Parts: sequence; structure tokens; C-alpha cells
Amino acid sequence: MASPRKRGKITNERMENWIDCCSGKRKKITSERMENMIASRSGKRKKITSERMENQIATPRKRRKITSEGREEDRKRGRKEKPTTNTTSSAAVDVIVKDVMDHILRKLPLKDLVRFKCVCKAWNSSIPRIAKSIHGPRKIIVTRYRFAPHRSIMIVDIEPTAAAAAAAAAAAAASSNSETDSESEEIIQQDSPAASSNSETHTDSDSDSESESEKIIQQIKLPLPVIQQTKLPRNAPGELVGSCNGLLVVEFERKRNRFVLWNPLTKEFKILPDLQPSNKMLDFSSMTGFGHDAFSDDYKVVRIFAYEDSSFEALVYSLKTNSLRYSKLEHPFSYNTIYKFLKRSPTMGTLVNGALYWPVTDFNYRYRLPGDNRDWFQVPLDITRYSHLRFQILRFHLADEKLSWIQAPVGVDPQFNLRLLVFEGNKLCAYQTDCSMKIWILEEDEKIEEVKLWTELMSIPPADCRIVPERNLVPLTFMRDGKVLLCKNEFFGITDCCLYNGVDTEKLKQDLGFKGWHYKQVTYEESIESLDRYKGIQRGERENRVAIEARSGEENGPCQRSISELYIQATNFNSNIGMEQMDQYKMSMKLQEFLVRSENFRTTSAAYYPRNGTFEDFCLVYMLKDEELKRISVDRVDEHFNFSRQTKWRCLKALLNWILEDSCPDYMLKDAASLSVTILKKKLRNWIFLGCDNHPLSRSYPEARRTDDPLVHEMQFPGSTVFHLAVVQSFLRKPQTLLPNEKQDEEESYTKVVEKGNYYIYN
Amino acid sequence: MASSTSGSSSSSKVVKIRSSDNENFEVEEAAAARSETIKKLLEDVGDDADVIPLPNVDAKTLVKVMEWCKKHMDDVDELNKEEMKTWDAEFVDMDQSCLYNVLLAANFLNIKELLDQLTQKVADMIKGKSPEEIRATFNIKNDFTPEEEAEIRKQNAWAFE
Repeated sequence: MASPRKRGKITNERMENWIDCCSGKRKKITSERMENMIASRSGKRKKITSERMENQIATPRKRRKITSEGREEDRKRGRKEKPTTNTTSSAAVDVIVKDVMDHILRKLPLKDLVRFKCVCKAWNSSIPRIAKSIHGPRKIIVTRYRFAPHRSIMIVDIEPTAAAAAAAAAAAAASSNSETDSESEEIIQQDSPAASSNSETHTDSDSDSESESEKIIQQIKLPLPVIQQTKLPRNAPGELVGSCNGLLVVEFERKRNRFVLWNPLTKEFKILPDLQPSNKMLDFSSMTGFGHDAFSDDYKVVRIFAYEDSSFEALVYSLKTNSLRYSKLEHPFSYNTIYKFLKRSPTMGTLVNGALYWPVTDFNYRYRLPGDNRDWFQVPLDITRYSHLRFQILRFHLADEKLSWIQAPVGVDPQFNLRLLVFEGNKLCAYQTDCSMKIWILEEDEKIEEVKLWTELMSIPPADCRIVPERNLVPLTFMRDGKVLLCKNEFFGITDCCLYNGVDTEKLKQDLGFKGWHYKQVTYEESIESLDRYKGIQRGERENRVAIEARSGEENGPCQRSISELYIQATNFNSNIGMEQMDQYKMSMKLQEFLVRSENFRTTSAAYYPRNGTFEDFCLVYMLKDEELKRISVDRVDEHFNFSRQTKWRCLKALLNWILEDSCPDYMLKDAASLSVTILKKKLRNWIFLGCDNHPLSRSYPEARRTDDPLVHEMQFPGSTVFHLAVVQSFLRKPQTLLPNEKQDEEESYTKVVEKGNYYIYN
Repeated sequence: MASSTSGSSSSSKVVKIRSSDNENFEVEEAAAARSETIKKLLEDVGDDADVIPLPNVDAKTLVKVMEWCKKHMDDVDELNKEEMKTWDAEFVDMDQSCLYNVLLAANFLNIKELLDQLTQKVADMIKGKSPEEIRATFNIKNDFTPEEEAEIRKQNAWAFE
């Protein structure tokens, strides 16, 4: 292998040759074409600059400079230069090209990924983004029938990763010729070489299924502190009532109205305030659901109470504001039928596209006593009595918290329970099982007539021996390829799993190993979603750092997108600052309300800085309302920010005096980022948002410090911490003149995004 | 090894490629076209393609890559899937330096499937390792101060258990 220098030289010459020969003999190929060539080769990467080409043909010296440090710098600038290989004769490549590295990181389990954050700064800054974009293996959580108290949550891995499969294979091999393994199910996506390498060693028996199933089923228990804090007995039964983005909501015990929100991967948890009915005099039954409201980036737990007097009420817990809201609901049933129904078969809300769905019926035909193990068909059934049965599907939109009712599919059989599933992640699917099985999909189009709302996806006639020659067929989940995972669900467990695509079935070689009557199932995907990120927003609690994180289409420059598409999120960090939290919170709410109401303001910013390291934080809000500038305290602003020199930012120098006048303490509103979030959510454009903190990013990023931009200004107040100001701004069209004399400067398109840990400048 | 891999049957077209260390190879077009980079180039150039120079792939690596391409030249039917998997698994089982070279070449040549297999292999290799081991493996300099590193570890303590 050539030494770097020699190699580089060859590369250089060769590339020139290439270009020569292309542009010479064959006119079609120009050097641009080669550039394109290389560019297009890198397909997904959007930012293709000539720099890359230069880089490709860089001299060895230049190449060597692109070490991991260099990469880090590139990354911070948001540039996507591609360091070329720095091949040494000694072997391993020093620097794996950044995208290749990203590629590799994407294939790691989340836990490994997060651990590697402390490898180096570049990784620390890129890993959170990668972690958000990857999907862990698809898993489902199956919980047992409610009368069988379950003390742990069972996560069933329906797509074991290569490693798990390999480990299983190794285990199988170790136990000599006992077999099974990685091949264990057709469910395993067999694209992994590791799995396949072992595959041929296995046969088909079921003998080792016990150890095998342990690999597939993971039992997780609530963290011990949860038990301690709730003062519940150890092993208190908990029941899963929701799963979304890797977070689970578990209900402890029905009567106590206690719920815990929990990320089993990171072991982070939060015990929710008691979700009690507002009317404590009446008996009630309830159904619960949990989901993410993308509109306000909030997690909500919804509990719907059906009282015995037939009144109906929704309780919404918002994680973001850590608050509870009650609202009365109407329902289409005349009597307390929902109360009765839920009493007997409480259901978990099914989350699809930001709405929760529960199927309800106005008659309970399926009451089963604990210990009544009779087959369903052994219970005498008088059809005429049931012919009036109606199903309704209740839909609760998480964003506007409105309730609506959807007719059940027309072909629904009134004798059997209607259950819900999620189809392909974005459609609601209803199914009925027992002697035959039918699955319908809800079409999302609102305009469709009610009768056509549902389309039948598949129907398995009674006792179709091609599928599973028996009753009690249950769809567990849909696989990524659209096949449905069916199983026979009987008292002693889930058996006879197979994949069904509507025509053929593939029987799994092995069952999932789940024992006992299952009650409900929900999909689960590991994530590193944190419950902590709302802490500051909730009560202005102890945050001293507000970072603004911008996520647009991955790494594409936000300048190419409208600001409204930017998803900006505030993250909050602990600090020792102990200001009046409630005041601060109220203040920031007030400001947000104002901004939301206000139709014609054009520029908004919010800032605060700590003075003398004390509590006297000072909040500045700049707001430009048409041409009218409120110049209160502008001098003070100038004194610290030096804006007057920087004409570009003059427009910001309107201090919103209503905050100060409004008998509020002057240290209010620390959370500039949450303000920006509010504004962005309103899809306003062409604004400037300022956020700041006293734990500056500039401290960790030298280049930020070097810039003379006032918005990345680092200031030392005597005796105080460093102050930092960050900006998110986007001009999509030529901004209107904000100040008559600042016209020219303002026409510059200028976007700046501070991403958590990254500093990007786009021009 | 020059021109050694002229494994083309008489019927199929042959593409000439040249490695960084000036060795020429002849490869069946169908195999070479597994590389999006070469494929695009061939489309652009047309039939009268001369030797395609690959300035950052050396001969040893290129042999490896082309071995893979030949194997994956045709779509595999169900029956051969198992066999192919075994073959792939053996293929990626190579020493580290070789693995990285092939990885970079696959990236440059834009052979998605191969890239997938190789990155998965590397990911499997580094799974479960400590950050220190990762730094050693990839020769990455730790640019954190001890305090910074401790802070990150503290924030993500669950990943270190």
C-alpha cells in the first residue's frame, strides 16, 4: 500500500489525467462531470461543494490536516467536507470518512451510541442527531389478561437484532446440538451477516425454546425508586396503558389513580400527579391513552372517565406544563353503557397520527368472570338479543383535545369484540377475531362518506385451515413489510405464530414464548426520549441554559427551508439560580400569550442576563411592531450588546416596555427559547428570534468565540458568569424595511442556527 | 495481478478499471455496475469506455470489492439466499485494515449493499466497547477535558451500566 504522500500524488495526477482525458478525447466528460460524478455518488449528502472536489484531490499535506479535530471544525460549521482517507501503511485507517462513520453509528444499539458520546466532541455533537433518526428494532409489548396480575412488563422483540440472533446462535451452539436460533423465526430480518453465518448450524426442534424465548422476551421491572416513592408494596401490579416514542405509561393500581411515565431504556421516570376523576362522589370506569402531540411538542396522558350517571369526562395531563385539565364530553350512547363496558373491558388507547382511539360498545356481551375459562363458544348466545349492538370508536385529538366519534366498519359482527391496531404506523386498523378474522383500515380522508370510511384489508374465513386451523386467531402486529403477525391466543399462551400477507402464511419455527392469556399489545421502540427536557418550561425551574436546537431536514441548511419548518426546541439545564419560579413562569406565559395574539409584530427576541451572579436576572424583550419602536432602555441594551455598531441588528433594539410596566419583576422570562418555540409554532416567518443563556456555547466552541458577531458575543460581567446570545433567524423573502435607515443591511439573507452542541453559520 | 480478473464470459461486456497503484482489471460490466459510481460513469461515457481509473482504491482492495460484485452480479433467488448469506458473512470476515479499506472503497464506489454489510460488520465489532476502546480502534483523540467527559458520563449514566 502506498504511503500517504505517494498515494496522494498519484491520486492527484490521476485525477488530473482523468479530467484531462475526459475533457479531451471525450468532450462529454468535463471536470464538472467528474465533480458531479463524485457528488452524485454521495447521493444523500445534500451539500455538494467544490470544496469536496478539492478535497478529493487534496495534497497529502492538506489531507493529513483533516484529522478528527479538523472534522469537528467542519462539522461545527455545518460544512460537509469530506476528509479523505489517511491511509497509513500500518493498517487501520486513521480517519474513517465522516459519513461512513455515521453509517456505522447508525447501526449501533442506542445504548452503545449514547455511551460513545464521550469518545470525542465531534461524536458528542453528532450522536444526539443520529440517535433521533434511527429506529431501534421493532418490539411489541404484550400484557396479560387483567385478572392475572403481572409484575413486570414483557417486551417481545419481534425483530431481534443481529447481535441478539448471533448471541442466541452462540448459546444454541454452546448447548451443543440443541439447535434453533438466529433463524429462529422468519421474523428475523435476515439481512445481517452475523446472523446468517450461524444460520446453517441449526435445525428445527423446539427443545431449546426456553432459553431462546428469553432472548426474545425481555422482562423489565419498574425502577426501584418508583416503588419506593409511591410507597407501594414491592411487586405491586402495574398495568401498561400507553406507549409512545419509547416512553411507557404504567398504571399502578386502578383505585389509586397513580401513573408513572417511564423510559425503560434510560430508566428515567416520572410519577404523575394523581389522575383522579373530578367527581369523587360517583363510581366511574375509565380508559387511558398516551401519546405525543406534535403540534405543541408535548406528551399527554388522557384518561376518560365514564361515570355511573352516564356523564362523561376527559382528563388530560400535559407533561410539558405538568398540569391537569378536565373537560366534559358528550357521548352518543343514551345510558351509562360506556361505564358498564369499560368496567368490564378497559382498553388502552391506540395512538395514530396524534389521536387516540378507543373502541366502545353500548352493550357488554362478553363479561367473563375470573376463572371462567370456558371457550367463548361454550357460552350460550342469543343472537337476537345482540342484534342491536353498536360499536363506536372514540377519537381524541391530542392537539386540540377534541373528542369525536367514528362509526365502526359496516361489516362488523356485533357478536365479537372490536379491537384496534396500528397499520404501517399511520393508519388505524380495526379487527375482530374469534371464529373468523376480519381486519379493516380506516381511511384518513375526512371527506369520505361514513360508509366508505373503512376498507377491508383482509378476511380469514372461519376455520380456514391454511392459516391456523383453529379459532382465537389474533393479529399481534404488522411487520415493516406489511405482513401481519398472527398467532393463536389461548389460555396457556400465544402459540402458532405465523406471518400472513393476505395469501400465504409463513409459520414461525418457534413461538414467541409468551405464556398466559394475553390481554392487549402495543408496539414499542427504544428511544432516548427524555422526560427532563420540559422541566424548565414547566416552571421556569432552575434552568440557566437555554439552547436552541434546530432540526430541519437533517443536515440540510435551514437557510433552504422556511423557518416554520424548523423545529425548535428548548432544552433546559439545571442551575443554582433560585429565582421566583412561579413569577417567572407566569411572566413567560404572559409574554407568550401576547406574542401569539399579536398579529403584526415583526421581530421578537428575548434575552436575559445574570448580573453579579445574583438573582437579578434581567429580561429584555425586543419587539418591533410595524414601524413603531419602543426605545425604552435601549441605552442599557447598547451598553451591553454593542448593537449600535452593528447596523444589521438595529432592528432589534426595541425594548418591549409592557413587560416592565406591567408590575412584573424585571428579571422575568428566562426562557427565550420557549418563546421562540411558541412563535415558530405559529408558523410565522421572517422574524428574528433571540435566545440566550449564561452557559454559553461559545465557551465550548472556540470558533464561536472568535467571531465578532455581536450575537455570539461573549461577555464578562464583573462577578457574573459568561453571557451568551444565540440567534435563530431566517429571512425567506426580502424583509420589509424595519428601520428606514437600515434598509440595505437588512436585505442580506442571513440565517443562523445554534444547535445543541453545534454551531452552524449559513450565509 | 494485472488483467487477471478477466473472468468475463464471452457474451458479456467487459469494463476496464485501474487501481490507484496502476493495475488494470477487467470486470464484467454487470458486476462493475453494482457500483453506482462506475455505472453512472459508464452511462455517461457510453460504449467506447476506456480504462476507468479509480484514484483512491488500491489493487488489493479492488480485488476484494470486485469479488463481491461478481458474486452479487445477479439477483439471487430464494433458494440461494442462505448460501449467499453465508458467503457474505465469510466475505466481511477480514482483518481490520482490509475491512476499512474495502469500506472506504465501497463508499467511494457507492455500492450500497456492500456498504451496508461492512458498516454492520464494523458496528458489530464495536458494539459493547467502552469509549476508550473506540478511541483506540479508530485512533480518535479525546478532546474533552476530564470534567467535560465526567459530565457527559454523568448525564448518560444509564448507558454505562
